[in-house]
Amino acid sequence: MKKFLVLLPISFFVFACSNDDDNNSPNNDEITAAAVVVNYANLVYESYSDSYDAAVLMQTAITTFTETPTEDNFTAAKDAWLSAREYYGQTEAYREANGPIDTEGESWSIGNEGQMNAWPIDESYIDYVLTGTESYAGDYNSIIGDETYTITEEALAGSNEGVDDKSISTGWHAIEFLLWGQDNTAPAEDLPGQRSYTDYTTAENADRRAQYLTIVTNLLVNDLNDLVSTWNEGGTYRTVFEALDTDTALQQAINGAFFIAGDELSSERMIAPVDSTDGINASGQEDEHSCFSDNTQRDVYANAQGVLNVIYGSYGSINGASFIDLVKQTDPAQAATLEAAASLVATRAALIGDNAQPFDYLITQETSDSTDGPVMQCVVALFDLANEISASASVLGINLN
Amino acid sequence: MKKHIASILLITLCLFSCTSGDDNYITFEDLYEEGEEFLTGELGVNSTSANAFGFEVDGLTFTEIGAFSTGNSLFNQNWVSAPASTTARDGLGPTFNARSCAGCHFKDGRGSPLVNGEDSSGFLMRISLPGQDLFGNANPVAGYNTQIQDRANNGVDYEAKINVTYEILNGAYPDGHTYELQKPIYSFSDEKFGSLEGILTSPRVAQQTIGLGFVNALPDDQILQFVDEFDADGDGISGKANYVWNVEENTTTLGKYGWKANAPSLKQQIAGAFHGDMGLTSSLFSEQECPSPQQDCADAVNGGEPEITDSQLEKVVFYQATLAVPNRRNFEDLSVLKGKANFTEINCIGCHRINQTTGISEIAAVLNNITIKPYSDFLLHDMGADLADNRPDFLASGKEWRTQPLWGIGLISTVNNHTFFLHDGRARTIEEAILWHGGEAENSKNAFKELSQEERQQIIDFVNSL
Repeated sequence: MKKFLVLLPISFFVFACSNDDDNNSPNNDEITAAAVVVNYANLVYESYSDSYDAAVLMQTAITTFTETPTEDNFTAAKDAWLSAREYYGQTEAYREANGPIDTEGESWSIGNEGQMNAWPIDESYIDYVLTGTESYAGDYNSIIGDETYTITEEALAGSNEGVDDKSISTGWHAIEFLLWGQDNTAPAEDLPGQRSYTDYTTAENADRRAQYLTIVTNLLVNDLNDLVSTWNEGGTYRTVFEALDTDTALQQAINGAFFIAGDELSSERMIAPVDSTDGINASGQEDEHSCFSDNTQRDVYANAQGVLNVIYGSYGSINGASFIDLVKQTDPAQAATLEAAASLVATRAALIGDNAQPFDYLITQETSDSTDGPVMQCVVALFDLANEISASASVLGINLN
Repeated sequence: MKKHIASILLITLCLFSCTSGDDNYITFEDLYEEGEEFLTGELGVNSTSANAFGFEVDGLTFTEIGAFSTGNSLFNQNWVSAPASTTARDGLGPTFNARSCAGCHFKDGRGSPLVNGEDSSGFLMRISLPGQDLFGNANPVAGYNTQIQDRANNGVDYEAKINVTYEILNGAYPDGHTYELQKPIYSFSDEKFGSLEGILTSPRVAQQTIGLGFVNALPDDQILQFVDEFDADGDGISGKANYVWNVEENTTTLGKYGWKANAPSLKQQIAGAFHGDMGLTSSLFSEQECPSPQQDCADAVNGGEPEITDSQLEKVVFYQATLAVPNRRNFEDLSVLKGKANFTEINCIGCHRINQTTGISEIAAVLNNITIKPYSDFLLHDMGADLADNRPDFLASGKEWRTQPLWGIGLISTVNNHTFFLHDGRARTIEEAILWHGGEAENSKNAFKELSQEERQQIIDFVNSL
């Protein structure tokens, strides 16, 4: 952090001398890969910190609700979940970066991505499910319904996917399910899940449900705290990361953005749901990440923003040496192409994120062989951005394959 | 590049002429064949990363890339138990071996052998009673059918657990170097629907899923050209086609996929895996896998009929068909080039064949008319008593196995972090896999054993370059 502050006056001086209108140094010596890597680490830390803080606010709101289960407090808890997702979504650009969140088997591994954000979930593994989009639905045994199951942090974490190959019992989407319940309304109705707050007062297993909600929220907060700690200056992984060969560190950092843009967000979270609208009973519209809260369009937006954060080295109060700066020094034309691709993603992700229609409705209006609608338009832009990230990395001598 | 190869050649020729002492004359073509590193023409990928098996072939259209992406998602993501809001992804089980295709084919790669005391991870046990059913398939075992599902959804019994112990077999090369093989011995426990004592069993690990579209696009004559069922040419190697029940065509056709070539098409292989391994019904296999008396299984809610739609199945087929084969690495290395020469010399190439040409692919036009080097004839061969599972599979006897394509084999350690080979993963290295070869491969194996340690290593280096 200190080092970074020292750099600032120099940067300002450079900007002042430059007649460029962009945030770039015209001097080839000014931006180094090492500075980009340091800035990236700051960015990761700050965004995990924000995500953690927002999750703590959510935890507080959920505690308030479980202690005083009213309609208003229920709404406040849901609002806090929605707010916290805005921050977490951006941090997904740090996955597939050989980092602690999803690397196994290293001394610094945390590997808690699955515990935090696994999807899809077997709802009936957690709580009751009701007749809805599926005519065959009904009441099933669940952890909440099984009074022989003692709900503890350890038990829920142990019940989550992993070596025993269990269903998903923890994370954002488990909390989401416990707050909203199944979304059994038609997409055109623009309604999320309609769980009643009385599920936490008069309904069967209300106490166990509250206990589950509390504990699964605590787990998430703890998981985020682990990431904040390890990325903090002097933290376990921060130390490992800073000791990496600079090119390796840069390659890993940019690979996360490449993966989210070119694969996870564009393919897994957008094309596949568009394609599955012909799922059984024509109800595949729930093939979307935040299917209970109808918040997927914000997930898309936040994921895309996370990619841009890494490219521009900018997030919150962090705004330092960036990947695109490095590219600009070596190949201004490629940097301009990258910038254009990034800008288009920003525009098209906003069209989804700020859309009056929820994602589950949008995907019912599109097919993957046409690129006219907002979802597939965004996919095209993301693919293009991924290609430009890769081409830009090549300019720096980095191979992302 | 050319110069580099030429200099290797000079060295190699000198080495051969100085050391081999036999009458082998090594020509330029024996050592490096132009373009030999491209196992699927121009459609290969150059990745050497842990995702080396996960790339699509070049040349797909935007829409095809979309289909590839969706197929990838359906292959990788866990399926969930019904009912669930994600209706497009529910229907898992009631009994199953894995929650996702990737659960066994991790990163489109290879499963691991069974670890005693743990649930399977890319391993399954086929079972049967002697004889055949009406379609020529192995006879099912009452209460279980033809495969043990060792997992199940909440409230449903899994079928049984499988255990393994290993017997160590010691051996030695003629040059005195010793080796150790491990022979797995399987047993069942916790059998929920009756004893499994005395039944026929066939342990299998999941294979890497690269290049499958090329195999699908091979006209039958490209495979049948190598048939020599009664060894008319007297080289000790037969090569027999398996003819198996084709569910879509409602007749018997050439088997191409699986350890015993018991699946006629990529689509049936995939639909069969969805059905048997994950408990997902499709238009090809529409019955829930709940043999009597598995009543909880039969009564469990399903994920629609069928659980995987034709559109989803097509996407997964497209995805699997268009997974690229990595181009070879280290193909210019002296030891690799010499290993290749000896691979041919001791007639490994007699089964691990190359240079078949695809016809017209009904899945993706980009796969049409490509000459491939899979290092497989895709035919059945008697592999000897040591590898025999003694469980017939259509026309495959209990000693016969389909030649495993070798393309990509050297990257399995990178993708899957292990080097377990053969049908049940018993071989811990390529060397052990070679040493397990028997039957029709006995002569080649013995020839391998007769080689010097350096020459043996060269063959292993060559195989690793594939």
